[in-house]
Amino acid sequence: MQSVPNPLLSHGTLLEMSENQERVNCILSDDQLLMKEVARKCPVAMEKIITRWKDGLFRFFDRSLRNKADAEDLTQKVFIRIYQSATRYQPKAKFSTYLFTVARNLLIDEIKKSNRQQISSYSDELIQGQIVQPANEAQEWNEILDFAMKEIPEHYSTALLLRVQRELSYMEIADIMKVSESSVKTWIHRARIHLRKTLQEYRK
Amino acid sequence: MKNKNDPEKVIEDFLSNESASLDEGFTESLLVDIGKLDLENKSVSRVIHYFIPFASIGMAFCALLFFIPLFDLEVAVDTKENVALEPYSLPSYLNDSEKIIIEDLMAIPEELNVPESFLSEQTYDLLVLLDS
Repeated sequence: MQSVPNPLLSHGTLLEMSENQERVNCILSDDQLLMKEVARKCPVAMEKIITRWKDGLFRFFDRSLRNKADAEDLTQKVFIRIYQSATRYQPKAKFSTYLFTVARNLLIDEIKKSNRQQISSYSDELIQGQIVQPANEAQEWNEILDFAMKEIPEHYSTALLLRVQRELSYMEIADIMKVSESSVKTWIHRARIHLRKTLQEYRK
Repeated sequence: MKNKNDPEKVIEDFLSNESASLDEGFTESLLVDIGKLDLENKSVSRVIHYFIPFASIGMAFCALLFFIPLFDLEVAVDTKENVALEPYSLPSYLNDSEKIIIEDLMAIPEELNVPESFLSEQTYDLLVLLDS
């Protein structure tokens, strides 16, 4: 009985190679297949990737940077970067891991570039008139949490956002952030404690 | 069912950020930007594609111009050597006997131009002693 040839290694006629390619394509995810098309400069494939992932990236950057214009700018940069490196893209991991690795690298560069400073506190900013009195309670809580997010390190907030927004596993987050799973769990736990504590203080 | 005022729910809703979204024209404008990038890359590669052969030809031409004077010098040297071999015409103010002497001198082979090394008297004395 002949063994099934490895679709990734076998060579032969053109028909055999195309059949093998189909088998390989079945192993790849939809996004990974789209990236192969993007590498061939297919605009439709790029459009599909953008449509699928733009809001997720934007929400991530918006909560990380707390500035919608900057978040939009970075979202754009992520797509431009993956487009430019499409020919070098290797589907070794999930596409979301690759995408958010690129996103996080750009986020870190942006934070270093802007040299974002820590603020004193939400109440101080309110007293000094630098922020407007929120219209309702929900808006107020959002602003308090926004300030709380500024107070925690970037890796805490990134791990927490990837967990909540993308529902990624600890292992996937660890892959993106190039750290251990235990570090990811610790960071998420500490970030949640800080947000909870800040909210409780202002609600008293 | 969680109360909407529950702190955990508030934090989850905040982090989810479901209400945030991009403008409708985002995708279109981004694709336009990507198209421009492609055009820029193509024009850069086109410049390189045409630049290299023309640059090579230009450099070869410059190298040729640099070496041509060297060839002329060698030709000039050859010419100078040839001039030496050309028949020499004696000036008219010399009389016939003097012309004959000069022509004889010019006919002398080149080996005589090599200066001879004459032996000293002491060396001659030694040679005489050895002969005897």
